[in-house]
Parts: sequence; structure tokens; C-alpha cells
Amino acid sequence: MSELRNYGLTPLGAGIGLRRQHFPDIINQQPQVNWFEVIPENYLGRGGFVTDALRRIAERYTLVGHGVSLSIGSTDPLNMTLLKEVKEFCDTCRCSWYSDHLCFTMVDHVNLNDLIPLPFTQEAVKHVAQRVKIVQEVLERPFLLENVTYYMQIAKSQMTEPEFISAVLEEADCGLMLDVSNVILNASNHDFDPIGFLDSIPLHRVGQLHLGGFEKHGGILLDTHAKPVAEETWALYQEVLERIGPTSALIEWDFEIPSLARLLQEAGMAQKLMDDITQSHHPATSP
Amino acid sequence: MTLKYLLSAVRELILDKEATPGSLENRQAEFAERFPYLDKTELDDLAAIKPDSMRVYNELIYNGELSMLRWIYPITFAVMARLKKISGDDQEERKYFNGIVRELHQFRAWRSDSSRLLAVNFQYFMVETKPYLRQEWPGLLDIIEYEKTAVDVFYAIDVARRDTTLAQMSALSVGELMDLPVFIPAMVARRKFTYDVLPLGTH
Repeated sequence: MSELRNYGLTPLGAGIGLRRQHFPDIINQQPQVNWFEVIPENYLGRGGFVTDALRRIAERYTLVGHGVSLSIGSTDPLNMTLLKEVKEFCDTCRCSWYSDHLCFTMVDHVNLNDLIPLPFTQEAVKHVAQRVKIVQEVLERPFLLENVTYYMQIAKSQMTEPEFISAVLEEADCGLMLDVSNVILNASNHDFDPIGFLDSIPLHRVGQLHLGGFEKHGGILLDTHAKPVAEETWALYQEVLERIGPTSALIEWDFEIPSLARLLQEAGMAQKLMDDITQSHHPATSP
Repeated sequence: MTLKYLLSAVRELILDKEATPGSLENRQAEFAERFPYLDKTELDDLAAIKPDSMRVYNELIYNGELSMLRWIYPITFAVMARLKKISGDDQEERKYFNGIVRELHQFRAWRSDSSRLLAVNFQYFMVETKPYLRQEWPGLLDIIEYEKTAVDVFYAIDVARRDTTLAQMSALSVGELMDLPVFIPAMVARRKFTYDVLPLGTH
């Protein structure tokens, strides 16, 4: 397993999140984009313009699914209806893998509408691992869990974040969607070394990366996805690429969404850094 | 298996009732009473979380719900802002709406991951708990109904025509086939107002 790169997934290069605001430009201009990340919850059970646009985009581009409401850590029953709909969505859009967050978003059947961190405990590890196995069985494709931001730490005495993530991934035997910005943000808010974090997680399980912007509010960094990728995130991204090689990296920009051209510029930066590192390691084989 | 109770306690502290201001020891004592199913370690872990950190989630969650509602009901919120101003309420607009979303949660918690249900909850909430707004401007409920329906129509599932069989289509020329409305919308709604609705959305 440790020989495997990218968790066995095809590296797609740099991509961007598919957002409704860009549909007309994507459909009319057909820009060069390696791939789009798409959030199924924005389309499930819906018709009209958005679904039609998605169908047309899926015909031409590579799509990868990324969920926001699986609530994998919740103690409510897994939403099997959602899971089956996601499976159908991934089949239709030919998504090679699927990801969601290592957190809970609903409990007691109440929607918290945010990514709430889990306690870093053995009990939570076993609980999540059990649910991930069901998810993988239903989806019939590799499943990646994303490290989330956390502004509070429940049960920090029992495990560190990297220990918790590693234990879940090993127990569930699933991949990691490494959100590089979240590592920077959590390192700043909880005062740890981001490089040390990388040293402590199973990088061979990383199948995809996320890069997003954050902002400082009241003394803490908030994961707003409303700004360009920060300098320190780019630096850690390069460090990750040095260790795992070319992969699939996604620019997340969900609020105050800029023009498609600006977003592609950010993805271009991610791609350039990836190409530079590939070239420096394998100068004869890179394009 | 106490994870369930721990997550439930976190939910209650974030969404419904935060810890009473005080020391760590005060929180330990308060939580022992409020969350009797948690063991000592869990209670200590929970009490060790600074209330400020929990408040970050409280604000993110309610701000997120407000954004979603404002996206679904842009004209309604513009009208409500105007009514607030007319009534002499000088509270900051963001704070005022944030208070409304918190009231909505207490009235009817969002028990689904569908934004449509949040929209429906809001409509019930306005009907049941805000009679004074209706008195000031009786058209408010019509606007709410209009905006909720507009979103439903926007996302309505397209249904393939059932009255044209494949055999019938095979007999058509390419031109006729191209003219055929293959999909029909599942939902069409018509609302008639005696005043201009859309400009109400700007204030």
C-alpha cells in the first residue's frame, strides 16, 4: 500500500469547482479546464437550467464529485437515499471518485449547516470507519475523506488531529482529500507545525488536494473560500507535491465568486507549480 | 456508546443554549447537570472548550442560514428591511435578520439537508409568528409565497413528454423532430399582483 501514489487515482492536474455563475461562459466559450469538481447536492432532485447545463458540461469535461452533507461522523443513521442518489449522480457524470468531509453536519436530525469537527477519540474512529465502509460499498468507487477546519477541539486529550485522521483512514481503508489550506489554517489557530502535520499522516492515501482562501476575523483564521489562495498555502502545496508528485488539485472559491477567467488564473498557478516540481524531479519525461 | 450524547451536547451548546459565562469549574458543574449521559472525561473535554470557540460555529451556522434565506427570498428581505426602518427600529440590519433566523430555529429547527425545507419553515414561521409585519404591509405573505414558488419552478424536474411515442417520432422529418418540445416543465405557476413586485427587491 505504501508504494501506491495518489491512492491509485489518476492525477488530473489542477481543476476548479463548478459553479452556476460560470455555466454560460463554460458552455459558450468551452475553455480549457482539466476537470471540474461538482457538488451533487446542488443538482439532486432538481431540473431546469442547472441540470441541463450540468448535462452539457459533463458531456465535454471530466467531473469529480464532492459532497457536503453525508455527515459521515453523525450518530443519526446514514442517509441511504442520499447515498443512492449520489451513486447514480456519479455514474451519470462518470466521476472516478467521490469525497466528503470528516465531520458531522447533522445530529438528532437537526441540520447544523456547517462542518462540525468530531471528537478525536477511538470511539469516533470506529464509528466513522464503519460508515465509510458502507459508503464505499454503495458508491462502488474510491471514497476520500477531507480534513476539515476546526475552531474548537473536542477531546484533545485523547488524540491529535493527525493521529485521528490516520486512524480513520487505516481503519476504514479509504483515501484522503487533503485540504492544504485547512492545514495552514488549523496550524495557525491551534499553534502546530504544518510540516509536522504532513510528516504524521499517510500521504500515500492522498488522492486529491483542495486549495482555498481564508480570512482573519477576530484573531482567528476563518475558512471563508472567498479569497485567493494565500502565500503560505502555496508554499505548503509545493511541499506536498514534493512528497507525493503530480496529483489532482482543486481551487475552491465559493463566496464572492470571481470571473471564470480569474478562477482559471488561480488554477493555472496550481498547475504551474505542479509542472515545475514534476520537471525538477523528472526533467527528461515531463512535457 | 456515548458518542451520540456527546455530539448531541455539542449541538445543543452551539445552536440552542451556550454555557453560562463562568470558570472551567462552573462549566463542569453546569454540564454535569445538563448532560447526565456523558461520562466524566467527556464532560471535562466539553467544559475545556472555550465558549468563544463554540460561538464561532453559532455565528457561522446562523449567518449561513441567513444567506440561504436571503438568496431564496431577496424581495421579502428587502421589504422586511424597509418595514423595520419605517417602524423606527434602528437596530443594525444584519443583527435584526440574524435575530429572525435564530427565532426561526427555535420555532422550527431545520430537520433536513434540503434548502427547500428551510424555505418552507420560513414561510410557516412568518405566517405564525409575525402578524405585526402583515398588519404593516399585508402583501408580505404574497411575496413570500411568490418567491418560494419561483425557486420551486426554477428547480422543477423536467418530465419527458409521454404523449409522443418513439414510433410517432420516427415518422417525423428532422425539422419536425427538432421542433418537438421533448421536455415539458413539471411545474408552471402564475401569480398576479396589482402592483410592481420586482422593484421592491431594491432598497
